[in-house]
Parts: sequence; structure tokens; C-alpha cells
Amino acid sequence: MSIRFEGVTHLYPGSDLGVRDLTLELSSGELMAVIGPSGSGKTTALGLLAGFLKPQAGRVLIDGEDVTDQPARDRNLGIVFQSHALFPHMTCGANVAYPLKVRGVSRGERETRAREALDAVGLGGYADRRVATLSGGQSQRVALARALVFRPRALLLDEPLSALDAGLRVSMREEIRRVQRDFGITTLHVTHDQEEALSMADRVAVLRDGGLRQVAPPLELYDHPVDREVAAFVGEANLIDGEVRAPGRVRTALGILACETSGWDIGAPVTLFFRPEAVRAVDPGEVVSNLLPGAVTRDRFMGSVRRYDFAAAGGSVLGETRSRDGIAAVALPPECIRLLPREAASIIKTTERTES
Amino acid sequence: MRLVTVLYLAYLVLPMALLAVGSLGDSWTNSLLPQGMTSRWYTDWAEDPTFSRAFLVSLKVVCATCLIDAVIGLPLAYAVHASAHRGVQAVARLATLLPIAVPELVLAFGFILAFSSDRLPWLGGFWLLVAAHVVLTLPYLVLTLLSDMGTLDLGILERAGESLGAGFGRRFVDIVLPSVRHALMSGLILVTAISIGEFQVSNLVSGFLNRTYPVVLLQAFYGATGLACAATVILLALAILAAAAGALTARVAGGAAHGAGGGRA
Repeated sequence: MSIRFEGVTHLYPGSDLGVRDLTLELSSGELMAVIGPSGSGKTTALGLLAGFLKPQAGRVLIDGEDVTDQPARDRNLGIVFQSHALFPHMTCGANVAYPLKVRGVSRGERETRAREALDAVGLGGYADRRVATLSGGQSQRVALARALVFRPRALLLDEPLSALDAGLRVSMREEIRRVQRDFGITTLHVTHDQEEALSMADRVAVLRDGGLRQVAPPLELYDHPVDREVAAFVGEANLIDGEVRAPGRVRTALGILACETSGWDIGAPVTLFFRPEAVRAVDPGEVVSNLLPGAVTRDRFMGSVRRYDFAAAGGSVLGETRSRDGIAAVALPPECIRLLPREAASIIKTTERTES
Repeated sequence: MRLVTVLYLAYLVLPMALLAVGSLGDSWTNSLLPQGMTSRWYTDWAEDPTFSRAFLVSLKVVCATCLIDAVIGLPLAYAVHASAHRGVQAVARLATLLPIAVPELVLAFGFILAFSSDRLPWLGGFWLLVAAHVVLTLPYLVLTLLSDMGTLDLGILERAGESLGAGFGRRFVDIVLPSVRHALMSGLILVTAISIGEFQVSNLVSGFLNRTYPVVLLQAFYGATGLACAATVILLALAILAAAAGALTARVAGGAAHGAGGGRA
């Protein structure tokens, strides 16, 4: 089932929070993550698709059918809430069977289907357990089973992992992804955790101030952010203002740096963008392009890597290394530097999903 | 610390102990403790139909009050809880508190003024008595329900129910009612306690045929002290029994709810 937001606007009364003129399409079977800082409108977008909110303008279509005026209970969408929202007075089995009971499925059939759904999320034999006895990860799985058991048209995930411990969160990402693939269900996944979005989604939509900034597969989003705001929001980024001086040469506070400038006019104001892991710790005597001698001012040990602030003449860069040695110079490989416009992009960049 | 506790308990129990002593004393006039010992007050009590009749009236009033409270209070509390507007919530809460704040005497005179006219000649009737009790006890039930609904996060549960396809009525029966059943139970126990002991309004509003037990008790104290004491002791015993039964039912219900899970590791 495909999902389509068509110029949807919903602003909360007395504020300019919400979403503005949102156009976004999810193809059938796709898992799309929606990320953005708080107040960016991602939860509003989910509420509009779920039917909890009514748009002031625009349409919401599910599989080509206009559902804008359909109440939430008729939309046939499976939703997993942040708090999981399991009914505390029912057993796991009764929770999962509830949507079937509402739909008038006979007792025998709904018990069978509830058990199958619990099996599918790895909770076989939990049908008689009380909700209060479940761990966070288990209640997450029950909520997922309940959202899928009635074969909904799409799955909506509202920050479902944020209530879990860090370690469990990572394993649940894979679990949700596996179940989503097994069911082949179109999924809208709202999250503030960009790592979660990058690791799970087919495509990621970045929202900001109620508007869509970019829609792209995780790799493209990470490597080719549309502007500096998206670059800064998705992962760590070095963003340094500069000006194109000559083909392949950009002047910055750090000095003249070599990088690809095709497509940019001489004299164009630009922002140089490179990821910390692209910054190479090198020997000060080494002959490489964009060599910056200097010293580490802050060093953060993060386990597998060290992330450091490196002060060079004219500015500082954020770098990442696996080495545990001291660093006297860094190099910025020209092929890892991309140029972005200084101002936020006014054009939304959308990449169509490519079947893998 | 222990001394304070003992003194406090004594302060609580002493009047009841005195009643028990009084109910067994032969005569009690102008002395600290009654003289002589007798059980005739209890036989008198049993033979006097006024008491059994009043007790029956009290019981009927309590049952009717609980029923009407539940029928009105549950949707009322739910509506207040669900209203999105904070101002509406505040006003509704204040309005529910009013019957507690207004002196009962004022309430009773209001009833007398309103219902002794030719157009509304219902003063002294059973249902007017029940209505008075409902007005007095409803706030306690609504407040108990409201505080419970606040902690339950009913809103998100309902939203989940809605996304699963349940309409309003369905959600109310399947999700709201079971979620607040404990609060409803404890609220109704409170209502029962208040309704059984209520005197001021009942005394002014109830007709001669519909006198509740506390009203008859006062009459008894104008007569023989011993009889009044015995009647009070019986009321106390019954109240304690009712409270114990209520607590036990709640406990059993709670235990059953927990036990039904089974299969816990």
C-alpha cells in the first residue's frame, strides 16, 4: 500500500508549529523514517496519517484512496506508540486479539491469529502473560504484534524505541526491520534518533520547522545532504564557510583548501562540508593536500574511536580516529569535501526509492 | 512516639467504648458510668420496628445513592478528564467541589424551600432523600475517579484503541471502565460510608416514613440512653462489617485480577 501526503498543512492553533505544505510519498513495502529536531512536525505528520489530526489544507491518500476525512478507527493502520499503550487489564493475548475482537472475528480464530502474531515477534507462549509482568522489550514486541495482527494497510511507528535501554534499542531495530520485511508492510517510522533512522530505513525524510528538507536513502542523505542544516542534523559534520577562488581551490579561514568545485562559479560563497571520519591524522612532514598542522584541544574517547577537536591556524576541525597516538597534523582529503550553499536550500530534494 | 499513638487510639476508641458500656448499663443519669448491668436495651431494640424500618430505609438510600452516583459520576468524571480545555477542567473541578464546601444545613434548607411548594411537593419523599444524598456524595466519587484517571494516562490507551478500530462506546466499555474499576470501587465505599452516617440533611429532608437510621438514633437519645447506645453499637457493628466486606471484595477482585495472569516465572 502506498501512502501519499499531498500539500498537507496542519498548524496548531495559536502557534506556527505543525507541518506546512507537506508532500511526501511512501511506496508499497517501504520503511520510511521521518527525522527532525523536536518541533519539526514529525509527530504531527504521523498524527495526520493516523487520523488523530485533521489537515487544514491538503490531502492524505492511502493506496490512492483519499482518507483525509476518514476517522482514525476506520483507517485500518497499525500504530505502535512511544509508551506502547498496552491495555493493562488484559493479557498479552487479549491485547493482540483486541483489534480482531473489534472487527467481530470469532473467538477461536482470533486466539489463533493472536498466537501467530506473538510467534512472529518472538513471543510464542506469552499469550496468557499479564502486561505488568513484561520487560520493556517484550511489551514493545506485544505492541508490534497488536499493530500487525489485523493486517493493517500500513504500520506507523511513533518513537517506539525511545522508552528502551540503549542496548535493547539496537537489537529491537533489527527485530522491527525483520518483522516489517516479513509482513512486507509500508511503514512510517517517526524518530528523533538519526542513527536509528539511518540503520533501519529504506529512505529517510528530514523535517525542519514543519517543512520537508530532504528525502533520500540513508547513504545518500549522509554523504550528500542538501544543505548545512541537514548535514548538521544527520551525524556529526564539519561546516566551514569559504569562497571559491579558482577551479579546485576554495579560500577558508583555514587557508586555501583543495576540493572539487565543478558546478560552482568563481567567487561563489560556499560551505565546505566533511565528516569527522574523513579527517586523517597525519605526520606533519607528510606531503598531502590540505595539510593542517596544529594541536588537539579536546579529546573524547568513545570506545572504538576517539573524537577530537583539532585547532589549526585560523580555526578548528572535528576529527575522528582509531589511533591512540598523539596528533600533530591532520589532512582533509579533497575527495571527501563537498560544497554546500551557504543558505538553507529552498528546494526540497527528493530521491525516488530504488528497488534493491 | 508510642505514647502519642496510644493516646490517639484511646481518643478514637473511647467514645465507642463508652457507647458499648452504656448499651449494657441499666440506668445512666448524672454519673460518669452507668449503674447496673442489663441486656434489655438490645431486646428492646429488636422489638422496636422503628429501628429495623429505619435501617431498611438507610440501606435502600445507600444502594440507590451508589447506583445513581455511579451512573452519573463515571461519565461526568470521564467528560471532565477528557475535555481538552484546561479552563473547562478547572471550572468543572470547582463545580464538583461545591456541594462539599456549602454547609449541609444550607443545602437542606434549599431543598425545603424548593420542594415544599405546591408545584413541587416532594419533601419527605424517598427519592428526594436519595437526591440529597447523591448531591452530597457525588463529589467524593468524581474526585476519586478523576485522580485515578489522571495517573492512568487513559488518553493514550484510548488513542491506541481508536487506532485498532474501536469506536467511542466500545472504548468506554472495553478500556475506560476496566481501567477505572478499582477507583470506582473505592469511591463507592466512600459514598456508602458517607451516606450511612449522613444526618443533617436527612434529618431535615426525610419524611416520617422515610427516616434514616441516624435520624431515628437522635430520637432514641431523647428517650432512653441505654436504648440509644445499643442502637448505635449495632449501627457501628454493621458499618464495620460492611467496610470489612467491601475491603475484602476489593482485595479478592484485585487478587483475582493478579492471579488470572498465571504462568509467571
